[in-house]
Amino acid sequence: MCRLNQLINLIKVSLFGTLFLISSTLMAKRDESNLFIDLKAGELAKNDPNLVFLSKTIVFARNEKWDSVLVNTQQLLQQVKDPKILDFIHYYRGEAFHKKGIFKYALEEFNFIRKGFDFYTMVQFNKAGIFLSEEKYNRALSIFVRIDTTNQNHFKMIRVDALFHNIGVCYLHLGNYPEAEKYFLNAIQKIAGRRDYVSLISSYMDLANVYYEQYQDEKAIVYFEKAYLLSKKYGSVEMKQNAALNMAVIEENRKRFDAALNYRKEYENWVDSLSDQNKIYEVAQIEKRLALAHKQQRVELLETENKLKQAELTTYLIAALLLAAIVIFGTYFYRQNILRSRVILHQKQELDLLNATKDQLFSIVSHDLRSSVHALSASNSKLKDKVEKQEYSSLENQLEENSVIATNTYNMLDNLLNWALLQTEGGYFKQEEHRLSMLIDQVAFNFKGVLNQKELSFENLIPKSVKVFADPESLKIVLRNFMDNSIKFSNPGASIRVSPGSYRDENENENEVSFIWEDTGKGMSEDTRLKLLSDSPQLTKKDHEKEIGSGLGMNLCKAMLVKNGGTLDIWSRQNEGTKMIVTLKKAADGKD
Amino acid sequence: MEKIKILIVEDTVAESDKLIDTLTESQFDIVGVARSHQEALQLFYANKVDIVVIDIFLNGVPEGITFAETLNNVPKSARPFVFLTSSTDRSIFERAKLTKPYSFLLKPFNPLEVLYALEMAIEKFYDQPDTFQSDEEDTIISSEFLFIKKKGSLKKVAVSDIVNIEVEERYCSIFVGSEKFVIQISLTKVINLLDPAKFYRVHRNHIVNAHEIEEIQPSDALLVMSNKSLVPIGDHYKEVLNQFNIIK
Repeated sequence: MCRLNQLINLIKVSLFGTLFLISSTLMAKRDESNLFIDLKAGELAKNDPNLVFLSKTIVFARNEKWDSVLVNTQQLLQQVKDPKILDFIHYYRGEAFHKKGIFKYALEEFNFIRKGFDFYTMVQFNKAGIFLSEEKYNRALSIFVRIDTTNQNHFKMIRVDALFHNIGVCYLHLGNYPEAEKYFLNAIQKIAGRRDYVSLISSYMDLANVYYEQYQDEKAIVYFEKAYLLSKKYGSVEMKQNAALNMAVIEENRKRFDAALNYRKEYENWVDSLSDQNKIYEVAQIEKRLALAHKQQRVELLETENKLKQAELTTYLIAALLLAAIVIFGTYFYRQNILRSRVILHQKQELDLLNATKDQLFSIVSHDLRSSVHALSASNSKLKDKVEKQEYSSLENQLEENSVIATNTYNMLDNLLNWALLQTEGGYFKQEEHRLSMLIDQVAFNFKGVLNQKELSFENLIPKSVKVFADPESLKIVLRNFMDNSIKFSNPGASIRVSPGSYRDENENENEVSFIWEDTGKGMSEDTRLKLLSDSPQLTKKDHEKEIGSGLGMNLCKAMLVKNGGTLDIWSRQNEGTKMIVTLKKAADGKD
Repeated sequence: MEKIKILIVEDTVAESDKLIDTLTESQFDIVGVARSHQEALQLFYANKVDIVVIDIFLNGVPEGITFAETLNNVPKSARPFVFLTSSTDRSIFERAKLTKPYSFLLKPFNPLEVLYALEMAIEKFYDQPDTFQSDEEDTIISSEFLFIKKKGSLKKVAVSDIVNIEVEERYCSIFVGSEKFVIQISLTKVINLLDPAKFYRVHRNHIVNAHEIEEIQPSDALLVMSNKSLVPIGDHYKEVLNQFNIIK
């Protein structure tokens, strides 16, 4: 019972080995026996330039690239009509399907081939191989047996040892052990001459199985050992594994457990090595996956880097834009600032000048005012003295003196007020047509007393008809100042005269009227004259220090005349006199 | 010839005294001095006033302007007036200007300036500018009076009192009762400004007040006026007589 179990086990193992042997035999056949058909097909392809695909197919078949072979032959099937060439094409397709293990299609392809095909033996051998693979042993055997072993030509196409071996395998599976033994021995005999150890191992193993099946253990063991020893040196891993397993079973059956154990261990070693290979493959796969992951990571890293770089670039761009904007705005504001500061500077200069004028004005005015008020006060005490001493005869003179001082002081204050009003643009100003002569008379009226006292003569030679277009009050301020100056700088007996302007008779504008205020007083230096006429509001120092005055009056006159649309010119010679030449408008612009 | 009646509106006694002195000296008749707006109105309506001198600031407030506005707004009370002020402040002047002031008089003033301001006020009020200062004319004609400039002063003659006017070249002799005034005025102006319903031109050189004609002597072409003076009737002007309803 136990032995039977072992036997079944052994059969399974040996069957596996047998099947393997067939496939390996078929594989080996490609190298030698197919060379003949390839050469023949190659000749055909060479003769016909249209059969490029055929020559390609041959090359692919030699390199055992079966998929390419199928694709190329598919092309050929559509082009080629010649049945001779079709036989070749079908053969290659059949072989390709056979190698790929698609037996159904392989058989179909082989069945297309005509019986008259030169290599029909090969076709039959392949068909039988397929039946053997499909475990249809009777059909396989009937084809194998039909192959004529006496025709030497056949052995160019197929390996006779493989034929014998396959027949043996058929008999083995059909249970005809003596026939199987005969064919295996024949196969071994044929193989021995070829040094094909792989086939030899298979044959040994299969022969051993034949004996083992017939319970001829002694003979079987010999062949098993032979297969084992050969497989150790030449076999593939699976062969080594099978050989070791077979030995282990045999030793176990012989109750030599130590040896069996050793073989079993060896078998397991081979299994392990196979799984090691698998492991290595797995490791390689993992490594590959890791490498892929690593690559992926790198790609991701690069992508991220790129993104970062892009972001950085954008940041730089924004920064650059911002910077540019700042620069532009900065420049703009800087320019604005410069312009503004230039205006401010200009204004400041103007203001400084005005301020300086004001300061000077106040210093002079306060000084002059102080001295004149002091003089008034001193004169008043004298007056009081004289009243106490009852010296009435000289009282009148004293009073007159008081009056003169008071008038001068008043005039000065009046000028100051008007000057202030002019600076602040305050004050009433309305230009109208007025008779110049009237205005002069009105001004002169106030000076009658002083003129008499100083024994000065005053003449107004302006015709009543002469009209000026002016603000009367401001013009009167001018005239009052003229009068004041003329009186101040004239010695007793001198004369003051106002006459119509002949100064610019030649080119006198129709809409202009001029008059000359003339005195025969002390006059002034050219320097003073120019200073008085200069545009600067800077006040001039008087030539005559003793006299009360500040130069404010002349400045005021000039400003008032300008405001009225007029001009002022001065002619003067020291100790000869002064002429004030005034030009004014006759009528409002665009009228008269 | 009568004096021109002036109402002074001035709160400062010293100022008003000075003004009174000046005006009296210039032959003006001061009808009164008002110290406030209220008083000014009373005096104005109680007297026949020809011209008003108004101080802008009364008791520290520009009430003078208010008074001037009142004068302007009541049609029959409209009179020429002069603003009197020491203020040169622009804003006050701007407001005063809205009342159509006829003249400004700035303190301190002398008689010439006062007279000038009054003349200007009258000239502007009756819209006959540049009359008193000119060499050619010295009279302004209103519906009631003739304002005449006489030697540094102004006088007036009631139009209704005029009997007849005799024109001699640039001069006009105006007969009022037994008096005769010579004024400078152009004949055209006289004719244009005198009421044509009362005054008729009867001769190239004569204008008569129709109410003062006492007798017409067509044979001699003479008019006998109420003051017994005789006025000839010019050949070209005879049709004028047709306007009268002569009882023959």
